[in-house]
Amino acid sequence: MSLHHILVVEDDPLTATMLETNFKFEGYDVTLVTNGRVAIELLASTSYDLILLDYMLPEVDGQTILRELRKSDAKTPVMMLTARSETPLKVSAFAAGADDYLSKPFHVDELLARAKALIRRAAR
Amino acid sequence: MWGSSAVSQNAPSRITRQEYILFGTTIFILIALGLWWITLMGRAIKTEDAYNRLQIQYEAVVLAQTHSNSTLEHAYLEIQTDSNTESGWRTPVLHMPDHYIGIKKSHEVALDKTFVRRKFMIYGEGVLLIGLLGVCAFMLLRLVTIRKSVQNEMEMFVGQMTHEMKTPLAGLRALLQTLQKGAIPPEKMQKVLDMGLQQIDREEHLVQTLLHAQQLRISEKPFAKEPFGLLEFVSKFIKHRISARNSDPESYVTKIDEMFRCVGDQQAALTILENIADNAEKYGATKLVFEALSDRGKIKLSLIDNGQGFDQRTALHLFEPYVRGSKTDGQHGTGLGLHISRRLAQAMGGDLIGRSDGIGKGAVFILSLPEESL
Repeated sequence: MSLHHILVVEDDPLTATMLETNFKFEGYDVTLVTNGRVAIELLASTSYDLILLDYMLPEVDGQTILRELRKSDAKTPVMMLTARSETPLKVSAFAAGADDYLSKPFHVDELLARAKALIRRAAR
Repeated sequence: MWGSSAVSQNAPSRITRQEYILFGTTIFILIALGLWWITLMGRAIKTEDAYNRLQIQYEAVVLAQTHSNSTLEHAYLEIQTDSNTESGWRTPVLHMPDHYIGIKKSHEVALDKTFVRRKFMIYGEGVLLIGLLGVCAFMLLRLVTIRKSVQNEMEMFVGQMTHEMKTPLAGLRALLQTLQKGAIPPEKMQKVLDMGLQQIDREEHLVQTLLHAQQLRISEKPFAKEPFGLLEFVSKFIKHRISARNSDPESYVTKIDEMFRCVGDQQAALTILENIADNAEKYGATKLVFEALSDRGKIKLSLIDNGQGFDQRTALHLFEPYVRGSKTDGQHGTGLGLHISRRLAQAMGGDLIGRSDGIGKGAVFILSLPEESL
């Protein structure tokens, strides 16, 4: 069975490292990106089983990345990760094409469970 | 989080007081204008009525004169004050002998300049009143604009603060949960623990900045004015930065005379340096040079970085709250660091200025503090 490939776009170094560590510990293949522009470049050439997207990122924000992605790829599940928990922001993220939304600080186990659920649904 | 809460709870109260004054003044002016308008209309109606009545009466006199084939040569005009009116309305009255036209009492005559002048006065007052109503409308519009601007500012503040405080917490929480699970490989342990400590340091700095912001707001607890050696202070700052932020020691250079001594609050000065250094780092600086000189009772400490710098447009608004440099969409930061830093410097009797030769040419921030007088 091939490893599921996850793209983590998160600019906070500790959160990013912890996400990478946990997904690797769970047996996933992880690509870590800390910059929005680099994420767009990667998404243009590579496909992933799940994308974890921070909202506030240097150069290009998470929602813009999501909109760009959804122009060509409507299927890859995307989970937004952000410290902002206002309802309008969540609604706007879902409208832009997000499949899930998790507010920081999150519980690692909950994040992993949601990620697995998203990958499982996408694989059907 | 309590630091953020304290500021966000207190921030609107100051504005509300201002708004109360503005709103109260506007309402007072509107009520006064309303009463004035009623008086003015009363006068206008009275004048118009008097004019019409007198016009009719005059025509009646002329008619009577024509019919009786007589003249009004014995008639005379006098201006008399009507004591029944509060305004002391001066009414021209035509006195005529009764036998001329058989009218036994005096008749008011309106064909007098007094009425014309009075009418002009009323028109003038009307124009002034409309002008003042315009001022009131402007004030109310301004009130609404201020309220909207404050609301936007608060939303931005809360949003930024939430993000800035929750993000490091998310990392720390994830770190502890991952440690608990035993998911961190031993070779990565030291690195992630260092990252956790750096995160705590950032959080601490953020809280300290917020506390200073609150201190500036309430102004009840003035900043300390203690003398301290600048070189020793900057050296301590660099040492802390190297250990807590894992910075490269080679990236800091000091060119400070060890005799320079400032007066001020070291904790506040530290917050200023942290904000400037954080900004430099955020905008790509790999080197930070500290230079100082003494100038007319002030010690001027320059922090020169080789980062992105800023353009003239950004320079104009550099110290305004929520202003961010160009190319920073989605970057972390409250947008308050430089604003609070300048206010802290000014509260200590100094100042903070920033300049840059343009994008890609680095930036210089000059913190001036009072020099210790010997």
